[in-house]
Parts: sequence; C-alpha cells; structure tokens
Amino acid sequence: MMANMLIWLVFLPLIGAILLFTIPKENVNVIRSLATIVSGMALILTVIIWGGFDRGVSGIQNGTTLPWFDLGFLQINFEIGIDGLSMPLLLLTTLVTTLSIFASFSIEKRVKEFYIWTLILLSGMLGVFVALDMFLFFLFFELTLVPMFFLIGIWGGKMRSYASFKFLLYTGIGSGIMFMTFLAIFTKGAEAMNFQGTSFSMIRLAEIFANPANPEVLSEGVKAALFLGLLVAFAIKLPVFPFHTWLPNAHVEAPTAVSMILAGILLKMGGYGLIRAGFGILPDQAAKFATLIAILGLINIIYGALLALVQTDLKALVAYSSISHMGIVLLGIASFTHSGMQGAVFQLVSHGFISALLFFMVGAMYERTKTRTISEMGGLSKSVPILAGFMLAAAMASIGLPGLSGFVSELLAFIGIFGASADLIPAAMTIGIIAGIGIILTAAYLLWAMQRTTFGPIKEKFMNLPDARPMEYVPMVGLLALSLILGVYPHILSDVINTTVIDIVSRIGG
Amino acid sequence: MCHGILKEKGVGMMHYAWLIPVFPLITFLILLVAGRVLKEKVAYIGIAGLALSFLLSVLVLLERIGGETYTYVLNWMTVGENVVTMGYEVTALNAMMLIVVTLVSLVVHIFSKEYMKEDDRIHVFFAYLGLFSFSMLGLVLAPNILQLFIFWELVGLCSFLLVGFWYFKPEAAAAAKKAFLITRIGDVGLLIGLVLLFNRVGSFNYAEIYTAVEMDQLSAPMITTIALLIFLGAVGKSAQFPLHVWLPDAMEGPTPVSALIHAATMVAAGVYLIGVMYPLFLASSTAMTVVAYTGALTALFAATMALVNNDIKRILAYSTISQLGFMILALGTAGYVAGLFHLMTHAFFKALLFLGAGSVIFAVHHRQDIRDMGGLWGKMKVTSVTFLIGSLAIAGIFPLAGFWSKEEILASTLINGDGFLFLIALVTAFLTAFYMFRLFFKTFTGEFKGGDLNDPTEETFNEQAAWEATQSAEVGLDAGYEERKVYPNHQEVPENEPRENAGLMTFPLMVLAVLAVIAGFINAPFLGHQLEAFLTAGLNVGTQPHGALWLAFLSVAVAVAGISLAWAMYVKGFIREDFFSSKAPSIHKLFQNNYYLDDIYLAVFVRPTKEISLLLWEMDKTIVDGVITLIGSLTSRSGKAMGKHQDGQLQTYGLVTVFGGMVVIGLAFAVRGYFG
Repeated sequence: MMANMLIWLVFLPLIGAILLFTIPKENVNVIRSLATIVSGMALILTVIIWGGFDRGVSGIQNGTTLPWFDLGFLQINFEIGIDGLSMPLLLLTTLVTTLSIFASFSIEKRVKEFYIWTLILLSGMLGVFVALDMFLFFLFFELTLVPMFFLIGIWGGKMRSYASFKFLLYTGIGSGIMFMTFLAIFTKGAEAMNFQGTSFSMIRLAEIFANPANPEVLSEGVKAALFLGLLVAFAIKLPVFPFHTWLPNAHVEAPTAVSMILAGILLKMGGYGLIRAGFGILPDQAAKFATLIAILGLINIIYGALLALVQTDLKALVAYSSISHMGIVLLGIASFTHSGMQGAVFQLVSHGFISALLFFMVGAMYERTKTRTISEMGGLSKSVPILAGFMLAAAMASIGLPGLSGFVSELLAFIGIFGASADLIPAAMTIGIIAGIGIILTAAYLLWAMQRTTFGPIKEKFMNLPDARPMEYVPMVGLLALSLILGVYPHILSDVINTTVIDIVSRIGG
Repeated sequence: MCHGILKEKGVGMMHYAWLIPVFPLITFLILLVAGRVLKEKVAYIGIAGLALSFLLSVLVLLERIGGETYTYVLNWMTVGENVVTMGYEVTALNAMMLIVVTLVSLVVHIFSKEYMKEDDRIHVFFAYLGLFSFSMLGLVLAPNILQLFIFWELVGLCSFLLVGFWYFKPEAAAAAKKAFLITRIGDVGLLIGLVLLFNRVGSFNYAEIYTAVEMDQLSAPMITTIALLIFLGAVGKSAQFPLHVWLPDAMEGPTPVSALIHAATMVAAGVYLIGVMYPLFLASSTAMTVVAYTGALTALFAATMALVNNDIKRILAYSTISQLGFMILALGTAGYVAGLFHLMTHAFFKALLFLGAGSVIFAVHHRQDIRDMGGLWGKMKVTSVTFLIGSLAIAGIFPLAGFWSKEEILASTLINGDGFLFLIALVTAFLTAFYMFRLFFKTFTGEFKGGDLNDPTEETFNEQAAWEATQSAEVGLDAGYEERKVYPNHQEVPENEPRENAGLMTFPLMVLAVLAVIAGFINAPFLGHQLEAFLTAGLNVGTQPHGALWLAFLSVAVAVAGISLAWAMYVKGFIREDFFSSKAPSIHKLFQNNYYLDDIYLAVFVRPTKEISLLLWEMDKTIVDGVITLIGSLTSRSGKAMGKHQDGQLQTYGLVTVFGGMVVIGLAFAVRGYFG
C-alpha cells in the first residue's frame, strides 16, 4: 500500500506535467492552479507517508522491486524504497516545491512551459530520493538536470544563457563521472560475486562489497578509486570547493522560485548521494577518507563565508552562504558519529527551508527595488517593514540562531566533529575550532548585508515600495514556521532520522 | 511523545515557574500581531505581562526559601544514544535572579511608556522588550547549559534588535551589528565548551555536570579547557576585556534598553553563567586565576575610560563594564556569594543611574554630553536625588547597597587573591567614586550650559562620539557613514528650561532608589549573611570569605576620597578640570580613545580578513573558474556565429545532445570494457 504510494508520488508530478500540455497556454490561472494542486497533492502524499513511517526500522521500508529489463548479465530493476535518510528529504522536496510554486505566480513569461518543467523537475527529485537501483537513481538524477537547465536558461536574468550552460556543463560532467563510477561499481560487484546474482541495487551491492565471494577483485586501490569517483560526482552537486563556481552564477540568474528549489532541494541530492551510495556501498572507504571529507567541509565553510563577505550582489552572497552551509554537511558525515551524521541530515533539511526563505526574500526585494546590488539598497525597513522583518528572520536562521532549525544542525555537527575518533580524523579538534570561526564569519556577512539593505537611511526612490502581498505570506510564513518548528522541537525530525543514522555509522563499527 | 519527569512531589508555586517567562512571551506575540492597532495602549499590555511575572517570581521565591530545588524537564531530542531534555528549574540562585530581572524589567517598562511615547514604533519597542524579558527569564530558568545557551543567543538577538531600534541611524545599525558580532566570538567559545562537556558527560544538565566534576570523570587539562571556553562566552556577554568594545557603542539604543539589557540583566548573564558553572571553575585553579585577572584588569581599564568621557551614557557604560569586572574578579577569587550579591545590588543601582540619565536626556531634549548640562539639581528634584543615591550606592558609601557587596569583593580578593588584585580593586573603587561624582557634579550642580533647548541645530558637535561612530561602522567592514542624524522623536517643547518629567518616569526612579538603599542589608553581617545562607545551601562552592571591620572602613574611606577629589575639581575648582588632560595628554588620549582597541581590531582582524577575502574572490573568478569560463565563452561565441535563435534554444538543444551523446558513448565504452 505504502509502496504503491511511493510510485504514485514519483509519477504524480509527471502526470500533472502531461495534463498541463493539454491546457491552452492562455489559461494562465488554470495552469497555475493545476501546478499548485499537483504539487500540493504530492505534498499530502508525502505527509501521509511520513505519518506511516516506522521510526523503529533502520533499513529500507515501503520497498518495491519491479523487474525492468533483464539482459541476463545485466539486470536493472525498478527498485524503490525509503529509510530515515530519504524520508525527510522527500518531505522537504514537496514542501519547498509547493511553496516555491506560490513564489512563482509573478512569472508571466511562457507560464505553461514553466510549470511543465517544474513538475518534471519535481518528479526527478522525488525519484532520486526513492531510487535504490543505481541505474534508476542515475536516470532520475538526469531528469532533474534538463528541467533545471531550461528553467534557468529561459526564465533567468541577463546572463541566463551563460549560467545555464555552466550549470549543465558542471553537473553534466558530474553525472558522467557518476555514471562511469556506477558502472564500475556494478562491474566490480559482479566480478566479486563471480557473475552470480549481479545487480544494480545499491542495497545488494552494499552486501556484496561487505561480503564478496571473490575478495581479490576488490583491492583497496579499486575501492578507493570507486569511492573517490562518487565523491567527485556528488561534490559537484553539493557543491564542494573547487567545483562550486557554477552555483553563484546559476543562483544570480535563476528566477526566485527556481533558486529556492535549486538551493532548497537540488544541492541536497549531492549530500544524499554521497551518503546513500558512497557511505552505503563503501563505508570503509568513506571512513578512510574521513579526514579528507572533513577538510573539504572545513574549506567550504570558511571559503564560502569569506567570499560571501565581499559580495556586492545580495543573491550571490546568499549563494556563497549556501556553499558555506553545505560544508557543515560534510563536517557532520566525516565525523562518523551518530550526532554528526544526524546533524548532516538535519542540515540538509534545515538549510533547505532556510535557503529557500532567504532566496525568496532576496527575490521579493529585487522585484520591488529592481536591484540586487547591496550598496544600492538601504533603509528598506522603512518602506517594507514586514518583508525586511522576514528577511532579518531568514538571516538569523541562517546565522544559526537557536530556536530555529539551523542551530540544531550546527550543534549536532559540532558534537559530531568534536567527538570524532582520533584514529579517523587526527586533527578533529583543530578542524572543529576553525569551523567555529566560520560561525562568526556567517554572522559577519549576513549582518553586514542586513545592515546595508534594511538598516540605515532610506533612499528617496524606495520610499513608496509596496510591502508583502497576501500571496507572499504563504512561502514566507510557511518556510519560517518550518524552521521554527524544527528548531523548537527537533525531535519531530531526529526521531525519523536516528535509527537509520545509527545503522549507517555502525557499519564501520563506529 | 512528551514524557514529563516530575522530580519533586507536590505541585506548588514553583511548578508554575514556567509561566514567568511565558507572560512576556504572550505580550510579545500580542504586540507582534496587533501592535499597530493598539498604538499607545501597547505599554499597558507590556506592563501587565511583566507585573504578572514579577508577582509570580515573588511567590516562587517565597516558596523556594526553605524549600528544595525544583526541576521539571521534557525530552527534546535524542543525540546519538543520549537524550537531551529541556525544562525549568528553580534554584536559590535563579529564584533571586527572577526577582532582579522581573523587577528591573517591570520598572523599565513603566519608564518606557513615557520615554518612548512620541515614537511611532512604540509597539515594536514594547514587543522587543517582551521578547527580551522572555529570553532573559528563560535563560535564568534553564536547568541545563544548552538551554541556557539557546536563551543566551536569544537575549543577544534582542540586544541587537533594541540597539538597532532606531535602524535608520547608521551609528545604531553599526552598533547593533558590532554588539552581535563581538559577543558571538565569545558565544562560539561557549558553544565549543558545552559540546566538549556533552561529549564527555553525556548530558548538558547542570546536576550531571557537577557530578562528573566531583567524580573526576574529566581530566584536569580538559576541565581547564572547558572552563576557559565557557569563560570566553562570559567575556563576550559581560563585556570583559578584550571583548568589551561593543558595550559603549551599544548605548546607541534607547536609554531604557541600556538600563535593562546593557546594565542590569543581559550583561550580567556572563557572571550568572560562571555562577551556575561554579563547581567546574573551582576545579581548575588556572581557570580561576584567568577569571580573577580578567575581571580585575577590566574593572581598572574600564574605570580609566569612564574618567575622561563626556557622554553621560558612555560613562555609565564604562562603569558597567568596570562593575562587571568586579563581579568576575570576585568569582575568580572564590567569592561566589560576593560576585552574585554584587550582580544583584548593581542591577538595582545601575538601572537607577541609567534611568536617571534617561530622565535627564529626556529633559534636555536628547543631548548626552555632560558639558551641555549642569544645574539640574533644583530643576529636576526626583531625578537629582535618586541619581545621587545611585551614585553613592555605586561608590560604596555605607549603608547603601553597593557598600555591602563591594566590601565583600574586597574581602574576597584580599583573602583568596593576591596583593596585586586587592590593590587593583581598591584603586578601581577610588576611581569609581571619582568618575561617578564627576558625572554627578557636572550634570546637576553649577549652571545649566545647554542654551536654548528649542533650537535643534544647537547640538554641539561631539568629536568623540562622531569619531567612535565612524570607528564602529568600520569595524563591521563598512566605512562611509559619517553623518549624524537628529533623533526622530525629538519634538518641539514649549518651555525653554529643563524640568522634572512625569510621574511615570520618576516612579521607577524612586522604586530603584529605595532598593539601592536597602538591598545590601540582605547580606549584611549583623543580620547574619542571609543571602549567603540561601545561595550556598546544599551547594559545594567553598567557604565564603568575610572581611574584618577595618576593610569596611578602608573601602568607605577610599570612596570618600574619590568623591572629595571630584568635588574639589568640579564644584570648588581647587584643582583645574583640565589638570589631567594638560599634564598627561597622551594618557588622557589613550583613555579617551578606548586604548585604541577598535583601531587595533580593525587593523589586525577586520582589514586583513577583507583583503584576504577580496583576493580569494579574484582567484575564484579567474583561476578556479577560469577553465570553465573559457569553455563557456567559446560556446556562446560559436552560438552567436551560428545566428541567434530565440532564447538560444539551438545551442541549448545542441548541448543537451552533446551531453546525451557523451553519456551514451560512456555507456558503450564501459559495457565494452566489461566484455573485455
């Protein structure tokens, strides 16, 4: 029953996209309503699945495996299912997408196509989070790429073409590497089992790699190469320094709603993929490279924050802050502790809400002031106090103010990195302390941005800007409330994550 | 989902202690939603909320006296295998703190009704005051250090919002940011400290931390490390050297805020933090020494800066830093009760002095330079008399509140500290009496020098303040605000003379003045050290030092000497006012410019960070991004060469195809490789 619901969930947006095809493009309101309804239905489905989710089970639940194609040596199955890792991300996906559809009503250009691509994107993202077969995972991963490419390329700003190509090139190369690595994993897995019962299933492959019939095939070097392949593939998506430069361009050019989805959900596929495939199939390699991952995380935190500090474009600043915040995810998973891993997943969800809110606020300000240049704004609290208030709240959430979700993930990640075993990460303490400086830098660039945009004297031309519209309250209040709920009572989320996380960490005996 | 754990039987008033912070939270929520509609009625809602909190705090205290510590917790989250709980606790220390916070907050609410009446954002002001009171009370009631940290950050947020209340003033915006950022440095230390504690103790609960320390579960170097990290948090919040630089700038906030947050309550949270973590600190003599010396040096440094400032609020701010240093000095020399006792008495007389300053500022139309004041004694009777009481109390004149607590601090430094610490404390006590009476005499005696109060352009250009304003702006990576703005709530007033303010402003002064007189008796030796007995019952915080009678005489003598010197200089003119500035101009300048610390921070931390960031950004755009930018520009150029199609779709599809081809080739290659 629940398994069927997962299939419905993944294909519902696609069906919605097909339905949209049949509607004349002049019926803008019908199109918008339909897109909202479809996304809303997907949200309701995820909430039902969330409600029925068994918090005591660490492995996959609601799983389904349907034979897809079978070439004898090559079996690809439609294998889906969820665990404590994917469940929160499914809910994040439908929540953020639905709220960003509310944020996209101001789009007037080629409305029908916009929502068709958005719904296809939604299917792709949901597919990524439920797929357990590597081939299926790859297909869904690709399915997100093309819509995002068009969403930036058609509805973006002045430099949209450049930004969308850059996005495609980077993430395309990432996908290429991912695909090669998947194939190599499959090949090696098959070899290790002497070609008996080969599979693309990540669950099966994890078992094979843990207990190979022919261990010689899986030398340390081979396994290390496979893990590094996955690390690079997902590092581009997360994104990790030095593969991050596509992100600020994509964000600056993307329309508000697309930025919300990009930062809120799409980046999370990188973190999710790294944990699901990298840590799932090759846990011992992940542990071996723990120090590397932790240092990459640290670089992301500091580098992203330092660059955010000198941005002149408000949206670019938020984009660099995303890079910085994704470093927390790496830091958490590298620690190989329950709390660190929990913090990483918590951060994926929390940053999803907070970054979507920040991008929404920046978009709302841009819509009114027609500028994103920080020095051209100022004093906006005077004319748009409500928007300015929500923007400050979003900044505070991003800074990690307790009571909002960002604090919980940072706390957990810090408990993780400071509790990391010295065998795994010899310099864990130092890494943690330097990461602490990142917390100060985060406050510095965000408060600086707030000071220059909403505080200070207001410019004459901004005196009569209209404050928040009723429709804008939906994403604003929704996203802030979600961050607040997780911040005040994190048990709601940690309860779902915990069992699975303990299982992942215990695979290397941690 | 929620599992209440009732540790104590019987449901008395203490069980309802959670309502104490909830009342102001409710007022905050009401004002947030309906503030604009309620207009000036908001003040009544705020006052009512705090009055309820105060009444309940009194009932809770009465029950706690002679009662036991009461704890109530709920599960908050599971971290690994450890359950983290949240809840509330009524201990002797926080029962006392509840009274201090709710009482000061209540009188500040009342004072603000009049003080802020002309501000059209008064509803926002009262909403923030409610949020602050909620956060501060939540901090005090916390039964574990994580919950304390959560509210610790929230009071920081409220401080940010209230310092920056007049957000359109660039100096206020810069000061708000500076306050948040500098305290955040300390907060990161505190966060790391509590993370280290959790990783070793498996809990954030005070009780379990105390037990772990007692049972030697932590190694000695780890105890010292954690204690010092936690202390860093206190250094930031309680504005101790070298993180004190935010507090003087925070005076950009409305004066009632300065009284409540930046004098009586929030800045004392650092002292409170050391108080609740005292067993940890006692276990490390290194940490205690660092605490004692930081406190002593801060007390002295801040006092020297107070000597030469001319802004009434900044003098009081430096004085606050100095007095907080006193408290921390006491805690560092094992004077647990002395430090916390001074926290309480200081809360009353410093709130009194700040509100008195607010009353003066209000009467002279928002001027703050004491050189523009003078002669207010006859004109503002209640303000003058209560301000005098506050000044005598802080100077430590018998039998006012400050005398009792300061004498205990001196005793503690003398008995447990060393001669150097005692000397610093004594010198600081002298300086305190001097600068307070310099302030008092220049403000209230002599002739009124303010000139025509109706002329808004009359405001004399305050070089010092302007300089500091640009400094504080720069510390946040941001120069360029130089203009000083006139206050928005500055309204035309018919008469030309400063005169006493309405009863709503003088009533709070009278309440606090009474407390500044009597609060010290609570721990007076001849009444049997009541506060000490209450605070130390059942706690392992060491024996409390008590001074001999001669020490009491010495401390009063020092205070009298300070007052006399101020009298000689500023009333009688026996010594010229510019004696110090002309004899030692470089030292005078050093004091006046805050020991150039802002410049040092700017040169050592802010500018290099900015330079490095700019350099990294250049590298990011050129080297890191270089290869791909090249490819990108080639593609788009070839696209243009092919003739621009609508929205560049041709290139788009082309690239998608190329990409698809790449995947297919990769697939074929890999599969072929598989066949070997």
